Amino acid sequence: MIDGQRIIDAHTHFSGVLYPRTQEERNAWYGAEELIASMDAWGIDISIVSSIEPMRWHNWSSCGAEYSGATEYGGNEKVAEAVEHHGDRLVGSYVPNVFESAKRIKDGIRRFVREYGFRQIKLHPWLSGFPANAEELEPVYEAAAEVGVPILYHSGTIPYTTPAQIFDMAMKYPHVTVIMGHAGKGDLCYDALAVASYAENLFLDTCGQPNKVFLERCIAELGPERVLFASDWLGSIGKLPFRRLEVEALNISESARTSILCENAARLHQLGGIG
Amino acid sequence: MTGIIDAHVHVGGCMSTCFFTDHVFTGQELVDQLDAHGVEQAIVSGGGKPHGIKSMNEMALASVRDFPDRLIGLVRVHPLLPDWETTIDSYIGDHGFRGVKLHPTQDAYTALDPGCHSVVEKAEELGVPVLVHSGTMPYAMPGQIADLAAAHPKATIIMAHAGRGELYQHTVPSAARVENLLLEFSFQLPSSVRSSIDAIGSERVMYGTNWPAVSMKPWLETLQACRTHFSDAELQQFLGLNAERVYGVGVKRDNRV
Repeated sequence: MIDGQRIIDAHTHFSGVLYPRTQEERNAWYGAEELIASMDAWGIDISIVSSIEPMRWHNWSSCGAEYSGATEYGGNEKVAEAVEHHGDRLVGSYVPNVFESAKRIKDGIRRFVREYGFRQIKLHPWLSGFPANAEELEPVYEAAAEVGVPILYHSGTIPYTTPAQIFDMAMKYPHVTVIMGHAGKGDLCYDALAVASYAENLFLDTCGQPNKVFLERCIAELGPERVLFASDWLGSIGKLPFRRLEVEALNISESARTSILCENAARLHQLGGIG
Repeated sequence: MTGIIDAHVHVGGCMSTCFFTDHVFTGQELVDQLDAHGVEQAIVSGGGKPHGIKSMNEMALASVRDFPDRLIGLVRVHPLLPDWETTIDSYIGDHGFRGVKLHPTQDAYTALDPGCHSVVEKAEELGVPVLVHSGTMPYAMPGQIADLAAAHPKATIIMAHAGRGELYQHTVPSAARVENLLLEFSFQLPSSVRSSIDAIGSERVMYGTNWPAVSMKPWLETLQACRTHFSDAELQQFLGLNAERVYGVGVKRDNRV
């Protein structure tokens, strides 16, 4: 909380170093304790968190690769464990393995939402190796509609996470809330605003989108209720304060800032009773 | 922190703003931002929609004339247009600008176009650096800019944005193999500065924001909060000393503007 403003970070991760260049970096891990310490330092009340691990198929025991660290749910278990211990600060985001059977995909989503209170599904197509509008996503969307949680995408990286692909799914499933993380990043932001203007169930988040003028245009055109604050915290130096300060620097009304920093995430993820 | 130089700002606008707002960002607005965030000087070029190169340079010149102690000019040229050399001569020779800006993405040429080599040779002859936009395919990728710098080892090339998003992965190895290549970190995060310093040292990194597309607020306040991740010497080099050395702005400029 900053100056009485409750802040919800809609997009964070437990992660190692994403692009390791040394064995030490490959072994690094930033989990619940590090995330909560960062949240405390920078006034974040609640973070919605997924793990990077299940985004990589070899971490799922069902994939048959016999990777020694693989588990039944690819590492979503670590998030469930963290949420059990820090339920007032962390909300789980489930990462499905879209290459499993439809039944397994749906059962996993149902289980983590109902048993562990997860409130979001995270898809990271370029880490997982599928286009953002792949047919394999049908059971994910059907389960999201059934349990009533939004789907958060990484966006902005070709060839698998273009705004058009995400828009395609948002149009096919108009009753599912879809959040376009990074709002198309640098090169595809032009597409992000265009498609969001046609799909009312499509929302944008702020992380990895440093273009202040673009974000201000999005907020003006779509309305502040369509944009969510997010840091994409991965343990890296200074990322969380940097992302929060970017939103503080936006030339928007204070009521719009409140929507972005807190109200939109609380409404979309039904977080009223948490924190 | 004192003596901060923002090594990448614009007046008018830039590639990242020109299709989202018609607002023309003035030199006064820029200096107001420098004042608000404790930045002493800025390296400025004009920006906006690509066809307006002439007016971009005129706007940069007007701003430098209005604030000669705060703004250091870069002249933007299009190496495929016939007037690039006379434009450089005019702005650097007559108006005291301190470098050249190339924007392969906006102006649609590859960073390895023969014209870019000619521009770099001219800049080397004049003893000024060339700031090259980076981080967008297919014309401005880190490897292309490193190859341009490698072909002219006595020139000074600055990779603007240090490769931006995912292409940052190419930036560090590219800079590691080409010693006359420096990195400017707008659109990046402090973690990228740290990993670059670890790989190539602290003499080839520069603070920049790409204002007005990006606010000056997050960088400087975050760096204050992350001070323990950097030595004082590294921060001084990143925030000002390297730009001062490369652009020669420690020397009092004459009144040619």
